[in-house]
Amino acid sequence: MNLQEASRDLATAVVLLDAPSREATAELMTRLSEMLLSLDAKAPPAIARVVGRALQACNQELEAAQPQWSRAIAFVGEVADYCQLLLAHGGGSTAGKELVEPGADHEQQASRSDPELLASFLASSKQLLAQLEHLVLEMEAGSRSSEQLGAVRRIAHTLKGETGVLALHRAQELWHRTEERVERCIANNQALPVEALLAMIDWMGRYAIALQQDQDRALPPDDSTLEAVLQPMDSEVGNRLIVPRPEPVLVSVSSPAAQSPAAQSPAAQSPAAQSPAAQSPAAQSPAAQSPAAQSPAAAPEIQNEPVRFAAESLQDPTLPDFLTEGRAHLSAVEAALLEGTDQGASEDIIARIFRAFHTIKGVAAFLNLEPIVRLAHQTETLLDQFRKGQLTWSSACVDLVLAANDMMSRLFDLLTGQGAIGENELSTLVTRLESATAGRGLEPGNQVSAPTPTAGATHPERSPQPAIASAQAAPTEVKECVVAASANAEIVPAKSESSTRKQVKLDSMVSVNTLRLDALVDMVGELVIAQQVIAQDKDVLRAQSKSLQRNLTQVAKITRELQQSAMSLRMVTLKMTFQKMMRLARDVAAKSGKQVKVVVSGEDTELDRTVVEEIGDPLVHLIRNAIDHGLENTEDRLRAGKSPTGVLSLTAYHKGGSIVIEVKDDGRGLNRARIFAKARERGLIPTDQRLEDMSDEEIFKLIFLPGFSTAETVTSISGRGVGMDVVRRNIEALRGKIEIASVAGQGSLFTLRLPLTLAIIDGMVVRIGQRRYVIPTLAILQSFRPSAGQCHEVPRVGQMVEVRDQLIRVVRVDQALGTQELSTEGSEPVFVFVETHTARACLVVDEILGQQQVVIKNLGKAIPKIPSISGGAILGDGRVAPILDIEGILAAADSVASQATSTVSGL
Amino acid sequence: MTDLHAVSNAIARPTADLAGKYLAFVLDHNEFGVGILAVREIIAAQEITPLPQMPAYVLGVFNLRGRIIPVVDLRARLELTCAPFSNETCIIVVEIATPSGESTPVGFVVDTVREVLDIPESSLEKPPRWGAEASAEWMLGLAKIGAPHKVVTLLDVQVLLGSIGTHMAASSPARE
Repeated sequence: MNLQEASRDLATAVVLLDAPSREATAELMTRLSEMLLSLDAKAPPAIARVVGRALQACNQELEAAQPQWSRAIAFVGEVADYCQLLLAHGGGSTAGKELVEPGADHEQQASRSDPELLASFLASSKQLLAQLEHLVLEMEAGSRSSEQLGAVRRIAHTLKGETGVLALHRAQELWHRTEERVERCIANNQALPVEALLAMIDWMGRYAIALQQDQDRALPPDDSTLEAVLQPMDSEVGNRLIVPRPEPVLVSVSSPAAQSPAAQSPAAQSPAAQSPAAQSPAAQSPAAQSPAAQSPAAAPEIQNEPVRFAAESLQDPTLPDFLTEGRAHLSAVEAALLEGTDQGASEDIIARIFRAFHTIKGVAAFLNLEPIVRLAHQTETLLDQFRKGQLTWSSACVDLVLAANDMMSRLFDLLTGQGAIGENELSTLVTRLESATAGRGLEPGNQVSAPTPTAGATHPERSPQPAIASAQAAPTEVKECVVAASANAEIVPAKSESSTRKQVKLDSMVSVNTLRLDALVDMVGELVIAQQVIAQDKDVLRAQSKSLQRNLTQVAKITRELQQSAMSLRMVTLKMTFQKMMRLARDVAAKSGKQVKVVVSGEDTELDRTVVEEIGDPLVHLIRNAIDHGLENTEDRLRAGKSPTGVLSLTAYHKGGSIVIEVKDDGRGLNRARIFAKARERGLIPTDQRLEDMSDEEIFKLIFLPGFSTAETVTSISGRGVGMDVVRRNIEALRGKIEIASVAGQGSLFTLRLPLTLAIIDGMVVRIGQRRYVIPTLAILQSFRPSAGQCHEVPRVGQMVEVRDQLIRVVRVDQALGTQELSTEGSEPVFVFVETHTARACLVVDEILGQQQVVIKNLGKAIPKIPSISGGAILGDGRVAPILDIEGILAAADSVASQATSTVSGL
Repeated sequence: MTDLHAVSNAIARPTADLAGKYLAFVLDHNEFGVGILAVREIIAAQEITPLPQMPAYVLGVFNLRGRIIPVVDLRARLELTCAPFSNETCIIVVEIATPSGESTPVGFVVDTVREVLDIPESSLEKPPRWGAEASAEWMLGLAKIGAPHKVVTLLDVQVLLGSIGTHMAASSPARE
């Protein structure tokens, strides 16, 4: 019976029922179970869901003290109608959107109530999406190996599964289709649908963000564009370039005509697929069946071979993290199991165990650790039954889950090269878990030792629910077999290698909440201050004791080291950011029709997490600009005698306590004359200014002004004249600096100089009157005591000073701040020559007290932002000194000056 | 507008909600109280770093174990006569809510701290609605304490200390 027939029968049965009764309900349940059994990988996942719900609804009435048969039957009717409609519209792609899934709201609410599970999914999905993106881009660039294909498929599958667990139905459906599409491409030896995959990744990323912000009300983002890219599967066959390299994996055997992923896999002969499921995909593509079913690929035979892992997984740098986390999960599981007594375990305990296995499964899938995934998946499925209350907890299941736990622990050992596990052992356990999931084999002593067909023929009259699970699990099982097969195929040549390299280096790891980390860094910052307070204490300075001085020096040294290691805890690499940029570069290049090669180096450079988070936006603008404006199109490049492919390089490195990120292109370079003309047109420079008088530096700086854009046409990518302004602002918000170098015809280089951390800056402590201030060293060009001849009084402008052959304006900080504190008499003032992106000035201070690293603190949230003060620093004596915001000071000085002029002219 | 606001506040707050523990302190020979739950700590007067462009009643900021905390001169805020710090001068640090709903510490300077009072509902009075109009805005109520009654003015620290931003906007940017 195929799915369509089954659903028609169901609908007929509902209509023809005599009267609402127990018998009638049982009859419907039988039909529903039949329907579930006829489901296969190609069936819309919605069907399995609604049918499952209908069964549940019936069962509720069966168990209820006062059953309302009509209610259950009405719901089944609804489900039957829904299924028919969905199937009539062909796979539920377009119709699925308008149709309202019966009972969906209810389930959605119920399953979203586990925020912890959602949070862990959101965290892992980010990683998965990044990984997927990376793979897709790699493969687009020309590499195509079976591991990569396997990984793409695995990630899509994992995402489908996880979104399903979380009842994110739309996402689940889309991932399902993505997975299906990927599998088809693999089978047909086609290039991957790069656009579709990238669109899907972006969509999921947006959805994840929405969920993160409001998990209860987040709606899936608009997916109409996805419909378009996921749709034209068949049209693409043949007309997209076929990758010539043959696939070494088993799947390449199946004929290109094969359409159903389930049918192609060797698992077609596996027990699960022998159920009626195997016959039904024919409904949509009858041609698929015959060649696939006869596929010579044998089902993965279970022999007593030792369990092995794919060699490349063992080299994954994140493996030690996984092991550490995994072991922590296992001990948590054990503790939870022992906590839950034999009579029963609380929901909380089961949920904890479930989550642990769920997490292990996710990460293991990510690392391609197939045996672990298999075990974790089956254990999770079993636990899910307990979680939903469809099976009851007993001492037998404690034993079983403990066995799974022990096996997992041994698998972990195996990963580090200790011990050995026979494939038989693992399979037996998985089979036991499977049958337990189906509601059998939980009685002590009744251990199923050989693989039996999964609960295909569960008796609906006895316990219909387990049937749902096993039937739903069936398609999953099928695909996992594919993975297993390909993984096995990989292992063969790697055998000798993996035996020599069994030992995985295991650094122990602990994952820590970032809030705690921040608190630690704060505390260490305070310790540093306290240590300085002691070191500068008057009594201490006066003390003669040698040993005291020695001990103090020792404390100072330890404190400094402690601070360094505390800071290093927050350091992360630029890898993720750079990866995102590569993707962006690819998209922009495609949109603007240019050939671009992206060269990335130094992505392992570490900097503070907060800086890494903020650096993305400016880089996006720089890269867009570089490709859209900087690089020429192919014809122009050829005309200029360059290679047709433009090179964009992204480099990061450390330099003198800060980090430097360079964005370099070999395009046409910045055009002085055009920038100048544009700036004049926009009124950004005085009309009497001449191009010849301006240095490159001055000209290039113009592009950072708000409202500046040289692009002749505004493209969809850039050219609206906000880009570089945003870049500058962002960089300055990070207390960084941006510099431009460019040679016409050869390209441009944008250099970002950023502090390693946002929390600490180098500052110069100055005294103005009785008050002390900190000036960020990054803004200072030099400081000097002016000679009498250097200073000039200019009418209506005020004081100016000659520095480096330029007349620079002199700014009285105290006047700008409105404090009038400068001690004008008796001492000679010191000038601090500072620079912002727009202006240069000399600040007048009484004295320079010293230069030191200061921890930037905010002035308390009760105080609103003061434009001329960027924060406070606690100095060595424990007192607070404001940190000057140079741009704010100059702006304040301007307004003071204009007030003064207007007063004068008013007189 | 402030008038209406103050009046509606006073009406909306029944005195029953005000009963509880208060930290009593002295300012210019008057006794005041703030709800004990808002008080984070009481410390001796500290060296305070003045900040530019602040309303006159904001003395500046000080370092409380590595955290920078703004300090308000409560005498100036309540428009009482100003006085220099003495040996008994204290800073009371309270938590107030920012407009975005976060809690943030603010200190205020008082002449001296007295005691913690447990004020029953029976000794509470609503703030008088005649006389100094706007003052009622920061006044929660009056409490009659002791055998010969003395009156303690109960203050709303949120209103008193949570409005530095609005006062700053009103003051000239280059104020002396």
